[in-house]
Amino acid sequence: MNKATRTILILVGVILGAFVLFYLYGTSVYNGAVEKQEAVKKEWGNVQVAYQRRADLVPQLVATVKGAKDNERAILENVTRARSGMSSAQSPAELQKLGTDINKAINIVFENYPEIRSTQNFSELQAQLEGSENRVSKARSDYNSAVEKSNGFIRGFWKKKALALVGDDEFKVYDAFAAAEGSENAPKVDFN
Amino acid sequence: MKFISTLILAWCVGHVYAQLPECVPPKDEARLVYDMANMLQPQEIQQLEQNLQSFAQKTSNQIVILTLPDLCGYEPSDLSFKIMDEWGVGQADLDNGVVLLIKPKTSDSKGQIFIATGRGLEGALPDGKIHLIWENEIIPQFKQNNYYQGILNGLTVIEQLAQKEFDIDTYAKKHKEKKDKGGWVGLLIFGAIALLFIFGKNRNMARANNLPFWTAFWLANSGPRRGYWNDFNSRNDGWGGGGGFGGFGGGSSGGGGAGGSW
Repeated sequence: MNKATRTILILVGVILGAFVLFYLYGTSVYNGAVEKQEAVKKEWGNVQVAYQRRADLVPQLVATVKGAKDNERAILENVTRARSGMSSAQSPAELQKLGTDINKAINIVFENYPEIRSTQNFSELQAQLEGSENRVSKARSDYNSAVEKSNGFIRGFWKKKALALVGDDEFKVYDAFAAAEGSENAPKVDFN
Repeated sequence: MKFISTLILAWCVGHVYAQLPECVPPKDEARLVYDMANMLQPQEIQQLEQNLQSFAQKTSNQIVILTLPDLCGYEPSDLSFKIMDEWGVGQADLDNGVVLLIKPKTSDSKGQIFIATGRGLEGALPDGKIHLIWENEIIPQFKQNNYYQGILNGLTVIEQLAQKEFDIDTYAKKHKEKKDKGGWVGLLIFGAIALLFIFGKNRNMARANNLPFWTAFWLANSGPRRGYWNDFNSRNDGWGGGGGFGGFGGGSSGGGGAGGSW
C-alpha cells in the first residue's frame, strides 16, 4: 500500500466516521424534537383545560344570583358554545377569542347583578374566579415556554440539518400566545 | 478557545436569566423555611422547620414558607408559581408541594400572602378552601402581628387536608413506577469516547510500566474517586435519605392557590 492510497483510505474513513457520528447525532436530535413537541401538546391540553375551567364558573355565578334567571339563557348559551369550541381549538388566537367570550359573560353577570357581591359564598366564588384566571395565565406561560423550547430546538442550524438527514419534516413550528392585547385579559372585577 | 468560552458564557447567562428574580433567595435542599423579611424569631423558625420536615418525611408533601421584604414587582401568585416550579417543591410524580409566600405589611404598602398548591393537591386544597384558610386562620393573627401563630394555624389545617390526599403509601406506590428517560445515543457516544480515552491511557501506562493491561487499568482507576461522579449517581434517587426532608422532589404548579392582602 503506497502513501497515496493510505491517505485516501484514511480520508474516506474519516468522512464515513463523521457521517456516522452525524447520523447518530441526528437520531438523538430527532428524539429530542419529539420530546419537545410532545411537551407542547401536553401544555396545549393544559391551556384548554384552564380556559374550560373558567367557562365552568359562569353557570355557577349565574346560579348564585336570583334575578339572573331571566337572562340566564342568553348568557349560558354563549358560554356553552365557547366552551365546546375550546376543546377543538387549534391555535392560541382561536382559544384567546373564546376566552374573551367567557370573560364577557362574566362581566355581564357582574355588571347587571351587583348584588352578587353580597351573596353568602361570594368570597369563595371570588377565590375561584381569581384561581381560574391564575390557571389560565400560568398555563399560557407554560405553553409559551414549551413552544419557545421546541421552536428554538428544531430551528437550530445543525439540528435542522440533522433532522433533514434522519428524514422527517413532521416537526412543526408552533405559535405562542401573544402578549396582552387587552382582549384576553380577564375582566377586572372590582371586589370592594 | 475564545469561541468556546464565549459559548459557555452565553449559555450560563441564558441560564441565569431563565431563573428566579433576585429577590428570591437561592434554594437550600435542607431547608423549608426562608424568613427573608425577618418576621419570625429564631426559635419559631426552628419549630416551623421541624414541623415541616417531619411532615415531609411522614407524608411526602413538601411545604415551603417564604417571607420576602419585597416581591420585585411580581404578583404574589406569579412569584409563588415560579418558586414552586423552579425549586421543584413536592414530589415530581405527585406534584404535592405548597408554597406559602408572605410579604409583610409596611407603612406604605399592604401585607400580601399567597398560598400556592401543586397540581396534585388542588383536589384536597381547592382555591375556595385556601381562601377560607387565610381569611379565618391566618389574617386575624397577622393583624395582631402574631405572625408565628397565624402561620402555624394555617399550616395545621393545610397539613390535615394534604395528608388525606397523599401519605407515604401513595408516594411509595407511585415511586416504583418511575421510568428512565432516553438520551441513549448521546450517552453511548460519550461512553465510547470515554472508554477509548481510558483504554488509551491505560495501555500507555501498561506499556510504560511494563505491566499487564488489566493491572494497569485497575491501578489507574483505583485511588480516590472523584466526588462528581458519586454525586451524579446518587442524585435524586433517594428520598428521605440523609438528614432533613431529603431535598426538593421536582413538583410543579398548575396555577392553583389563593391569597390576599391585609
